[in-house]
Amino acid sequence: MSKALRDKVREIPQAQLRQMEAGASIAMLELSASFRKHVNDSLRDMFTLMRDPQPEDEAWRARLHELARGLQGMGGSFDYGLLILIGEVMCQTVKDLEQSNQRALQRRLAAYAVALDAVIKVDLKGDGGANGKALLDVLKIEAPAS
Amino acid sequence: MSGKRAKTQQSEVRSTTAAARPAVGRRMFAREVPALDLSRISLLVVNDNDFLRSYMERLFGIMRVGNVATCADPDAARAQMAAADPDIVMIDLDLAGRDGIDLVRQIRRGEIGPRNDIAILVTSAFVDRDYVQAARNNGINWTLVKPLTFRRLYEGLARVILDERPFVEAEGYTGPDRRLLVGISGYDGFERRKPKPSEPGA
Repeated sequence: MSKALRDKVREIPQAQLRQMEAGASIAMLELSASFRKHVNDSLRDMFTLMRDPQPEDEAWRARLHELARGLQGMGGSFDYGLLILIGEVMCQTVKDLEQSNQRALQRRLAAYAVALDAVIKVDLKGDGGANGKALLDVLKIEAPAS
Repeated sequence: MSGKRAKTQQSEVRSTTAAARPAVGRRMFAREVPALDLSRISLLVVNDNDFLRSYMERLFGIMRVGNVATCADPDAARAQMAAADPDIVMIDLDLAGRDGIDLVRQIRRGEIGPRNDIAILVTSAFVDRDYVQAARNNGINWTLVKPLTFRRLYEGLARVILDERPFVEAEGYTGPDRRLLVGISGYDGFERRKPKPSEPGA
């Protein structure tokens, strides 16, 4: 494995890596702006869905699941670990709705949506520290050690 | 001792010999990542988020990775693996979860793709999640902990490229030697699978 792979690369001056990093810093600024727009668009669509809940409608559930999963995915890459945790639980809750259309599940979904919004608005990065822990406690989500 | 057991103990290990020195030497790079020309490296990224795939393509483009293919889920990766023939596969376990582990297992078993010894890099926000540990036990090379910054992605690529650990093919495990310190500072590790001098077959 490794010898064939190593033979495909050669060492280049560190200055070139520093140049790449400088380029990446600029790209990250653009990507961060794009990230915020994506997240805000997703949250807006999520709240639109939640205003008119149709848990028995497969398309409604699929769209909500897609939005939660998208937020879950984007969160980790920009250091919003709470988006991953809450997004994951939200995805599971949407799946649970297929089996049992309980109002309690709908209320939990609404709480998760509000929590996702709060993570972004309050800018709770990483595990969110004490605020993050308090948020997860309220939502009864267990955080894995990171 | 049965023949099967003996085979397990003397599991096939592919390793780099001293005569075949790599183009770039192995090192630990806690402080400084080696700068590498990645233009001949082919990469397959498995991530079901459109935005993240674009994000990674952008950063790998800045790193001048030779070829970057992306796919949305493990099923698409299975379909693309033969054509893409990647040197490195990168799987987001937070999204792929158990499906991602199944993909790792299938690659290592040689069930998909042209080779079972492709470098496999997984990404996750949480290193202690069950699926990350399961991925390790199914033969991944390295886990990248999020957030996926430029430097972290670059270090991940450099780490798996410069990984000199032997590739183990045993009855219960296929993948890089899980003892991370093997080969560093003269440490050769404890060879549990080799017969001891007092055992038959030694």
